[in-house]
Amino acid sequence: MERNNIIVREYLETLKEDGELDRLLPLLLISRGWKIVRTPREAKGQKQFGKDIVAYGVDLDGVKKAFYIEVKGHSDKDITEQSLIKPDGLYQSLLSATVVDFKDYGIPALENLPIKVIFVHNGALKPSAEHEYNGIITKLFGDGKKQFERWSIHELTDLFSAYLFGEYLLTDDQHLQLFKKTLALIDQPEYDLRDYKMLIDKLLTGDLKPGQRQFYKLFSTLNLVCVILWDNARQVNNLLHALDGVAYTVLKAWGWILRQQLVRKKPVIGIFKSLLIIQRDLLETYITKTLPVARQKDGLFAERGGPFEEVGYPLRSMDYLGWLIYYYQLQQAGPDFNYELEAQQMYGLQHFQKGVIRAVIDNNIGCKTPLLDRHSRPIVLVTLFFMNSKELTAHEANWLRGYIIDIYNRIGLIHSFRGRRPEFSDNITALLEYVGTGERPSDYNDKGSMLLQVLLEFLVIFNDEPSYNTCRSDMQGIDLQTAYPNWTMPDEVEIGLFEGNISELTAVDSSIALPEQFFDFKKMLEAKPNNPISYKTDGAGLAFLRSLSYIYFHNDIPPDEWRKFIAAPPHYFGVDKSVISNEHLTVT
Amino acid sequence: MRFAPFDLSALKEEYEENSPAMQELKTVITDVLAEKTWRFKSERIKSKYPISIAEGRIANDGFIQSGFDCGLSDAPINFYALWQQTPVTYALDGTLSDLMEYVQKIRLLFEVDGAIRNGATLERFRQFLFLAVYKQGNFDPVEQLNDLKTDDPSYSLLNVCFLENVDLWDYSFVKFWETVTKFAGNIGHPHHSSFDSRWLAIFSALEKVLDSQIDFALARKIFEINLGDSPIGKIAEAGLFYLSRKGEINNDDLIGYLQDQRTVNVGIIILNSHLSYTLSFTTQIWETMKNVELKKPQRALSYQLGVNLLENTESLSEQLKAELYEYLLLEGVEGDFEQTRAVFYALRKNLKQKGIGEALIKRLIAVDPYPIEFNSLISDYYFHIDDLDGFFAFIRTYLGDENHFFKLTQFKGICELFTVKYPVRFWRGMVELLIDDEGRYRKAGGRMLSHMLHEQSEHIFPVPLEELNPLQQYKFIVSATVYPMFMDENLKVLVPFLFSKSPIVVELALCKLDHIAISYGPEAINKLQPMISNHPLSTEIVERLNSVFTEDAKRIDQKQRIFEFNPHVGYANLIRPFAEFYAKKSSRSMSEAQRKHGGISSFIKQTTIGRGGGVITHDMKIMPLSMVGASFSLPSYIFIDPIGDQAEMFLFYKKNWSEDFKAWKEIISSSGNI
Repeated sequence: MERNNIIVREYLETLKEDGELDRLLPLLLISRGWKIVRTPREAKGQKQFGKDIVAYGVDLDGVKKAFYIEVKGHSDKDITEQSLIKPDGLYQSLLSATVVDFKDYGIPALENLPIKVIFVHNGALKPSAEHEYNGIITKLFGDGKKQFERWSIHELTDLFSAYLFGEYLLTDDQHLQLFKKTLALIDQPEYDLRDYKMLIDKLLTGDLKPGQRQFYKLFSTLNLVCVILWDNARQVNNLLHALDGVAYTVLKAWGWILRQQLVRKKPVIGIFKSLLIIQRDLLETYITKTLPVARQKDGLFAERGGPFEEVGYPLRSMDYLGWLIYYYQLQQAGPDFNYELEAQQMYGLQHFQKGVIRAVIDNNIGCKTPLLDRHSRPIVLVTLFFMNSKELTAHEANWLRGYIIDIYNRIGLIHSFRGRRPEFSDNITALLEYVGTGERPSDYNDKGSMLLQVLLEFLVIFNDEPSYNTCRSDMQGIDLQTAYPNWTMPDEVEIGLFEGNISELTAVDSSIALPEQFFDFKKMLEAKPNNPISYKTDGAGLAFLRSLSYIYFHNDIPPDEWRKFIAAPPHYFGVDKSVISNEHLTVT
Repeated sequence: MRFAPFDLSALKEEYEENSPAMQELKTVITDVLAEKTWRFKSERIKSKYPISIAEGRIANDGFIQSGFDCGLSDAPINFYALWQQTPVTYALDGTLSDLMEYVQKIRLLFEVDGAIRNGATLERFRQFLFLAVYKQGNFDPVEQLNDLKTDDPSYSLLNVCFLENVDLWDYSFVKFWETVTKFAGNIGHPHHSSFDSRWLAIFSALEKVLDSQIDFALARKIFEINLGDSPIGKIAEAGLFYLSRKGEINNDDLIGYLQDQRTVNVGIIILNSHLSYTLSFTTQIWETMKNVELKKPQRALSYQLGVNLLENTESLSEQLKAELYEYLLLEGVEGDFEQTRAVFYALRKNLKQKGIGEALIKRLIAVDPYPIEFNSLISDYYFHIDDLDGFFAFIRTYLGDENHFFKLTQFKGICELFTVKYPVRFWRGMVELLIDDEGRYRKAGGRMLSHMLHEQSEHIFPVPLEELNPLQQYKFIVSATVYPMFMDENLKVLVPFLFSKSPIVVELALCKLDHIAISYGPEAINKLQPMISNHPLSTEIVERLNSVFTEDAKRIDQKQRIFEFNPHVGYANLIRPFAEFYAKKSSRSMSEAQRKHGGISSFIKQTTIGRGGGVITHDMKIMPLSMVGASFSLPSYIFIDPIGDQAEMFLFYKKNWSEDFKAWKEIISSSGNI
């Protein structure tokens, strides 16, 4: 394992303080069994008084203590004569830590605990500063009122290796090789993260020794590899690999929890949420970075992409929408994913989110240009996002209807000019060939469509009979379909949802004939099977994870998600048509 | 590389017995042949013998090149020159078995090097070998050939030597046929890619041998027995063709040939070589042909025969003429472009006849799937009959049919021809299309304009566009700018409208110029400046375009910093296959060189994204990502507008232009724009 510590040390040495080293440290502390009271993220914007992290737990000497942890990295990672005395340097930070105690009356256990100040830096103590450093430590901690400990790069390496990487990563040559390969190839845009995914699969399928501590270590390892992946992706200025890898880890980890039947165990959910926090932070970084451009006019269009953009723009737009919706669902779940936001707060948040989504969609025609039948997923997610929101305004309802009709028009337009509808079997190569050569490849399949069926069903929710009548006449020769999860095998379906694509666990209602009358169509939909699966995931308060499965593994969204609105449409749909504009479909 | 014709006398003179050149050469050859590992010790050979022995002298007549032609750059050229000449030595001094041993050794050596497959080298070697064979006098190549395996490269060499000089020996036809058919069976079908000089040698030898024959009946019998779609069958066909030229095959024989599936091919070939036909013979041929089932290659020949009969029959009856036309038009026009073109050109001088041209066009249009190349035939037709109005009428007639819409908007050839011949009339016709009330005509006009302006910029709009009323000008701009054009052409199309009396037209033209400024930047603005120097608002226009360009550059720069949105990063695994598909399409309209050097595919093949997002080119330089894709040889602005298809829809479906015009008016009057 010693030789493998190098990878840990080299990685730790590269970390900066802000958002990197101090994001990783809590994982280490948790794996030691300590409880985190405050993280740098929570303390952001407030004066920290030499306490980036506050925790409590049992120290190596068996005594329960409160820990004030001060973190220095990047340019301050080494202790030098300058870093000791500069403003906000080591001396000032440690002085604050000794003078100002941390108070949290919500945690009475902290009150009378002995205090240990830990200075963490991912560098070394330079010999030239050693004398002065010893003097400062003696002056500040010589009285014994507070204990002091320093974790340099050497201690950090040992701690991380022992508590986090050791069990699942460093001692297994194959695991280590996969991880090293991932990091080596992460700057290649074409790299599909196969090694990383293999590593995650191996970690989650290996024998897990019994005990909470082992579970903890396993999930700490997952957290760590996610953080390292993210950090490496950040270094190459491309977060897409991190989005991919972390989503895969989250999905697979949740699938594993379901399979192990641990979903009702609160500590398990607690540690799983630390993985979700990483994903949410990553998404926040990604969305913050990209949204200002994405919401501009054609912001998701790449000017230099040349002719590829006929495919690239819609693909990018649909992918982006998927991530945006999922991120907003995570936001709505609240900081700890407990949905503790008050109604007014939630209303405000949703109002803001819907505004952003509308801006992105309205400014990017790619968001209304499905090229593949599976693009129904982001479209349905957007629609459900609006319909499930606390309050759907008349303006939003009108917009939503226009959005669906625009999508229908775009499909018609492309069919009219290019001769193709969205590819049904997710054959992206055939799509590339069709667009690239302008000629229909023999394996391009647009005879069937689930997307068009969904759009038609939305018209029922919108009570939009004229549009239905127009659309209906265009559906000649198209095999309209709906996919239902196999509700007779709910557990298999739910676990499968997080392990990959579960097309083999879906029943397809095909060759759906559209009744001539709108009312009959509505009746027909109401008579369709409605056996919603009671997902354990939803029961655990993590329903948004299913959205991740829909956008990541392209699993079908069960029709009951939207059909429930047929009987009970949101306000402004179905009843009061006066607020809906009477625009008509332009292309048939 | 091609060599000068073989000069036997000069070579013979050079290698006179006991000449200094020959003495030197013999010494060298003796040593060379003694070497078992020629190639690797060749340096020693080179140093041992003065360059003048081989290299200097040989260099004078260009042989020196052949060493390089072999691609054996690491070998001394004098050595490779030597091997070409050694047969001469054996011709003069050696025995036949020595010669054959030498041929074998050379074969082994060059099989290793791969030089034996080099055409130029082989050619030269063959010439020397022939000299050797020739000098042997009583040497009979056929006997030698019979002893050699057919896959032995020296077999092929000797065979061609034999065929080229078949007249030097006295062979019976049967013996010749045995040898030549064995050889032909070994070199593949003459109609396939393997056709080469060996086939020329066979056909030429065949004629030489037949020339010396008296018993044509035997030869004909052999040919007729061997007819068929095989290499030997093709020699037999050539033989029968020769015999027909000699008058050995009469008309009755030919009619007999037409009735037999095995002989129909050669029958048609021979008939096609006739310069004229009597009416009765034509009738006989036509009646026979009606009952014969032809395979595809034979059909092509039969259409040619049909044309020949039409054109070269004395006093052809109207009925027979009509039948032949019908046959050609209904059956000769098929999905195969080459064949159809042959029929088309064969009928060309008849196209002016009433009904023939129209029938041909109808037939072409009906072919399904329609090869886009047919457009060139249709263009040619209208130009040939000199009917510009007919061409436009044709466009309008067939554009009404959805099935024909896409294929008929890509005429280029005819536009080039007509713009030269009738510039004003042609452009008036184009303008009428572009401002037509029917969307499909506007669209057709737009597409045709886009295609032709790439080639014909100097003929641009010799018609005064200012004569159009503002609404027509407005329609014209919309129709003319939906499809891609190069910068210069774009400017030429738009600048006249900056002088329009209608502020709406001016504003629309300016909006289009904004696009050009964004796409081409200062280059376009600099080009525009002198073109509008006499415009009262020239300064304001330039300022506006500069500002549009600057603002957009900022926007693009902001976007470029997000690597996740770069398709070469986000969809790296898709963009490569796409580029390959796209290159397929592009290769149809771009030259091969452009595709190799300017296309997106070559760029992608040569680059990888470096750490941090830069692009590492093939020469290991880092190029910023902002350059990615910019090397594509089409103007970038056509991709800047992501809703290009919406613009196309607008062009196609737009009906109420007046309302649109009014809306513009309101916008402009409220914004106070120029």
